[in-house]
Amino acid sequence: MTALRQAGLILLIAVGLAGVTAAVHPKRPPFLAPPRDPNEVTLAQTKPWAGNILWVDARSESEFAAEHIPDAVCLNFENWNEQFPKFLDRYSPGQRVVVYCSAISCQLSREIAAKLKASGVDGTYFLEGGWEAWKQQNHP
Amino acid sequence: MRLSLLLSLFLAIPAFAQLKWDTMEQSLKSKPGDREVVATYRFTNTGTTPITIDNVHTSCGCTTAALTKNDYAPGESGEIVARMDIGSRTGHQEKSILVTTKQNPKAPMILRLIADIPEPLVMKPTFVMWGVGESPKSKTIDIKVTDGFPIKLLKVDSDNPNIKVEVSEVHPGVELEVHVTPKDTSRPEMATLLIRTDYPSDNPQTYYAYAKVK
Amino acid sequence: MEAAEPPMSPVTQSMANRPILRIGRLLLRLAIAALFLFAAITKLVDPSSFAQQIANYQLTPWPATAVLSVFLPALELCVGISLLLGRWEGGALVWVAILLTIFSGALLSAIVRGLSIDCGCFGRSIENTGTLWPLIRNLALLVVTGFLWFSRNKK
Repeated sequence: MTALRQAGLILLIAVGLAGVTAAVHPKRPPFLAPPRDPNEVTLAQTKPWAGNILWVDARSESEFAAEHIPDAVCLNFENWNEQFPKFLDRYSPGQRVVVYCSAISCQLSREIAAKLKASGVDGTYFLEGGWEAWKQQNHP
Repeated sequence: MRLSLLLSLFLAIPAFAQLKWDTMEQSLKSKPGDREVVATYRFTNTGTTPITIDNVHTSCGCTTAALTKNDYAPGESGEIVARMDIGSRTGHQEKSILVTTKQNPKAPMILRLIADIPEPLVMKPTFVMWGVGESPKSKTIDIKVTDGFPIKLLKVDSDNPNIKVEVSEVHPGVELEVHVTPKDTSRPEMATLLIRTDYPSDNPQTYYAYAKVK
Repeated sequence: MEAAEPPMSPVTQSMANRPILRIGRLLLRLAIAALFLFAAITKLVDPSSFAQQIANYQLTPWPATAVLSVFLPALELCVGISLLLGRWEGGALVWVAILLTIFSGALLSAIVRGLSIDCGCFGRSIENTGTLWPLIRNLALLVVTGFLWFSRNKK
């Protein structure tokens, strides 16, 4: 049997094995759409919240000072103890709190949102795409 | 003859991994009160040509990586000292340090710093709020020491006499219920609640919760 | 009259009279088998998390990513078993070369596109695998694969 034919047979067996795995594996991935963190929101999803939204910038104070979403409050791990009371000045229960950091690969917004949630702030989310996404939409 | 040619090709491939690291990944655990986590990554130039480290880039603004010099002759050793600012981070943290050399700019080396930052106590929630005009009923903050932590909760005070705290001990020193009551809610008020502990003994930490009328 | 045997490659010829090289060859084959079996099993344990890792490379749309997350480990498993048993070795080596090339391409693309380096964001899978060492390893394996290919017994 030539190597190519052998390779073909191996392929067939692999496809069969993959099919079985896809059908019965308890940890199989969802096939239609990627799993989404329920707390992650896209910019579009935040549109209906306009007027009742508190933006939280998870980046450093210098990045925040350079540019940020208007009316955002800065809250990061470096200065949490000083900044959290200022966040509380702005926050009212019932508001949607959306945390953002720089870009799509940034994890800070997710982490700060988690810390806010653990602190007792309900309705915290983090923005997919971060500052980059907002800038693209609002200052093309 | 062709065999030896193939084998020599195989052996030649790692040639450009010239810097040999003692370890490229370090796991560290911090103590409450620590402000930073420090890890040192030692390396040696095991090649036959000099190496210049021209860029050390960390994945986080919270982490700095320092080098004493950039050029290393063959056989020379050096180290990169990474410092991660803890701030208010807790739990499992992973930060990366990208090291690029002038000789191989497209082949960066990645050092990893894994830190475990324990949370000695958990407060739920960390703040309580009343709207102006809302009934000034007492609200509760639950404080619990994490299992296995030799930390004792000593005292809880409010820095604002208009917002009072009363502590009931669910489990003395270990679990407390802090009942927070504003004198009245006719005007905005703000209080910082100071939770004093005895740990670590050389630098006992105080934790903060907040109460607001707004 | 005897059936003519297929001509031996120069590599096989030089090995025919040196048992130490045949043993070395066997060890290399088993080493690659072990590598693929290990890779397959660690991924088959949690395809969902492997899917997330593939997604982090941002090279494929989601449905393809999900399919790859079960298909790639299955293929690795079959290749590993084939090399372990020494059956269908030629076919297995074809897949080894293809898989190594694909993985190396993905790793290279991740390096070339630059890792997103800002505010604590390295993308977890790239943090975990480290992009350079696997690339070097894959290239070395490709060479070993070539060696195994040219020295195999064509049945």
